[in-house]
Amino acid sequence: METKIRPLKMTEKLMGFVGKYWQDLWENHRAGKLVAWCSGVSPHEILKGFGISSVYLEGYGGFCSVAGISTDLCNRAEALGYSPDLCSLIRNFIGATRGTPAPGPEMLPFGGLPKPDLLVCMPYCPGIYKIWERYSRYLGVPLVVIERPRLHDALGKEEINRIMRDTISELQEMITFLEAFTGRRFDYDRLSQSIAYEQEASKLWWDVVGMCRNIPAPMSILDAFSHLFPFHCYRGEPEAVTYYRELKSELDERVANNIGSTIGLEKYRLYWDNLPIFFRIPEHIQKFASYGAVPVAATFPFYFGFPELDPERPLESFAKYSLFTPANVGLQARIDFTTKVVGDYSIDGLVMQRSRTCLVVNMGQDDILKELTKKTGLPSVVIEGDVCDSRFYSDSEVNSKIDTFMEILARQGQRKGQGDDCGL
Amino acid sequence: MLSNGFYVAGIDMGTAFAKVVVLNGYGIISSRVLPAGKNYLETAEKVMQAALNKTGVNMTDIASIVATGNGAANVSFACQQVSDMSCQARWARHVFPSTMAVIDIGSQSTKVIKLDEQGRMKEFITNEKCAAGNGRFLQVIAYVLGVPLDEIGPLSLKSEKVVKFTNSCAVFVESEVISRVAEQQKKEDILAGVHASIAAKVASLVQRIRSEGKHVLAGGGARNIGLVRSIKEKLDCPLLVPDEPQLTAALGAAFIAWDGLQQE
Repeated sequence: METKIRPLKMTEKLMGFVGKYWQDLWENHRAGKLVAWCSGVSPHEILKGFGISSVYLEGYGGFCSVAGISTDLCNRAEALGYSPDLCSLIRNFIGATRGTPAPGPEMLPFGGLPKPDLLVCMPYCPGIYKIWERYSRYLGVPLVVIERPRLHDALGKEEINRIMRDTISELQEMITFLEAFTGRRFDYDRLSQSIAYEQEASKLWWDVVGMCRNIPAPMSILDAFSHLFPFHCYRGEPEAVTYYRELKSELDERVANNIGSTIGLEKYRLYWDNLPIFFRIPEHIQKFASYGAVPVAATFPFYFGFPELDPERPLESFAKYSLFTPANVGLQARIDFTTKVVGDYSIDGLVMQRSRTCLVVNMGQDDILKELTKKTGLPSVVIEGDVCDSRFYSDSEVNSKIDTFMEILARQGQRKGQGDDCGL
Repeated sequence: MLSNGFYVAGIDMGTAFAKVVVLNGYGIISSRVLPAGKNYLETAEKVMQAALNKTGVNMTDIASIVATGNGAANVSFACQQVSDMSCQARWARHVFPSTMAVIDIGSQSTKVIKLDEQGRMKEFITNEKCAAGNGRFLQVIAYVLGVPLDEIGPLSLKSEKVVKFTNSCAVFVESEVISRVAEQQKKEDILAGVHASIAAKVASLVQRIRSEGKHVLAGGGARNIGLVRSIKEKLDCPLLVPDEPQLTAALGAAFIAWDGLQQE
C-alpha cells in the first residue's frame, strides 16, 4: 500500500518558477545579451554586475536527471568517445550540448542551453576544469578560471589568509577582464545588491533546511534537494528571496501545526549522505515512507548558500563563501560537520549514497561512515547510485538493501516517532 | 506455547533457484530445491508442492509461511515477506550460535552479514552492482569451460598452477577464460584462478565491514568446495560450512515463521 505523502504547495509552484528563469534566459540570449555558463560556485553575482545572464551547468544536469533523459545524454557523450567513468553531470552536459546524435531542443528541458559568450569556472574537481578548457576551444569563447584550493585540515591561519587574499585577487582580475570583455565599467553597487539578495536567500534556505530538525519534519530532505533549483537559477536575485520566503512560510505553518511530510507516524528519521539520485527522488521518498521513515537531514543542502555573506564586503565575503563551504573543507572538518548534522536532527539511521561517478564527494565517505558509526552507534546502509546515470543504479538491489536496513531499524524499535493522522 | 506438531515453511525465491523448507517442532520435515525458471509465481507453487509430496502434509496444515529472496513478492501464499539477510542471520543464530558473521554467496549477489552478541543482524554489506564475486559468475565460467557446475569445485582442487586474472568484471573474465583455454591452460588451473578472484572479493567485503570471530558460509556458492577452500585461504578467521548451504535462507525463513507463531 502506498503511504500518502503530503506534497508541498511550493513544489507545485517550483517548475513554473524555474521555467520563468529559463524563458527569460532564452529571451535575453535572443536579444543579444551576454550569457555565461558557470560551474561550481562561480561568482554569478559578479556577472550580474555586468548584466550578464548566468547558467549553472550542474543544476541543469539535475533537471535532465529529473526529466529522465540524463542517461540518454550520457550515452550521446560516450558516442563522442568520453569514458563512462567520467562524472555523469559532465557527460550529461556534453550529451546535451555536443552529443551524437545531437538531441533536439524538444527533447531537452527548457529547450536546451543557449550558446554562451563566456565560460566561468570555480572548480570543485579537476574533471570539470579540464572539460571547460575543452569547451572554451570548441566554442571559441573565453574561459575565466578562479582557483579554489581545498581548505585541508592541516592548513594554518596564515595559509588560509593567503588563500583568501589570492582568491579575492582572482575575483578582482575577473572584474578587470570583464570590463575589457564587455566594454562596461563594473557596477559595484549592483554587486553589493546581488550579495545582499544572496545573503537573504541563504539565510532563508538554511532556515528551511533547519526546520527539518522538528519532529515530525515538515519536509523530507529529499524534497529539499528539488527546492535547490531556485538557488541554481536565481543566484543573487530577488526571485530566490521571494521563493524561499514562501517556502519557509509554508513550512512554518506545518511546524506550528505539528504536520509532517507524510501522513502517519514519523517512526524513523534518516540521514542521507552525498548527492540525491535525482531520477529516483519520489520513489525513494515513497519507499522510506512505507516504513514510516523520513530522510530529514543531509549535508549537501548546506553546500548552497552562505548566511555570512556581507554586502559591505562583497568580494571578501564571496571568497569566504566559496572556500569555507562544507563542500570545500578537509576530511576531519567534513566528519565534524556531518556528526553535528546527525546529532542536531535526531537521526536514527544513516543512508550513505555512493554516487558511482562523483569521486570528489565519494572520497572520504567511508571514513565519515566509520567515524559516525563509532561516535553514534547508528545503523547504516550503503546504496549504490548515481546523480545522472541510471545504468549505475538497480531498483531491485537498492530496494532490497533498504528493506533489510529497515528491518534492522525496526528491531531496534522506533524511538522518536511523532506525527499525526490528520488528512491532507 | 505452540505444540511441536505445528508445521511452518520458509520459501526462498532466489534468482537462480527456488528453495523450500518445511519444519515442525521436531525438526525439518522436508526440503526441496528447483530452478527458479522464468515465472516466479508458478515456480513458487511448484517447489512448495514438491516439498510437500509424500510427507502427508497439505498446504492447509501449514500454520505460517515466510517468503524471502528476490522473488518473495511473487509468493502469493506467504503470510509474510522478510529480507534474505534477516533470514540468514536467523538461521545462523540457530544453527551456529557462536558465529559472528554470515557470508552468503548467492547467484545474484554476495553479502556479508555481521551479527551482534545475541546473533541478530547488526550490519550488512553487499558486492557492488556487478557480477564479480557472485554465483552467476561461476555459472558462466562453468558453461564456458564445459564443466558441470557441481564438478567445478572438486576439479579446481587438482590445480597445481593457479591462473591469475587481471580483471574482476564477469564479462571480461569470461573472455579472459576463453583466451586461457586457447593457450592450453588446464581447466583446473583456470577454475582455481576464478575461485581466487571471487575469494579476494569476499575478503574485501569482510574487511570493509570489519567482521571478526567465526564466520559461516551460506548460499549456493558454499556448495563449491574449491571456492570454500579459496575463501578459507584468504580469510584470517575460522570459517564454518553447513551441510546444505543452499537451504539456509529458506530455513531461516521457516524459523522466523515459527517465531511469529510463538509470539501470537
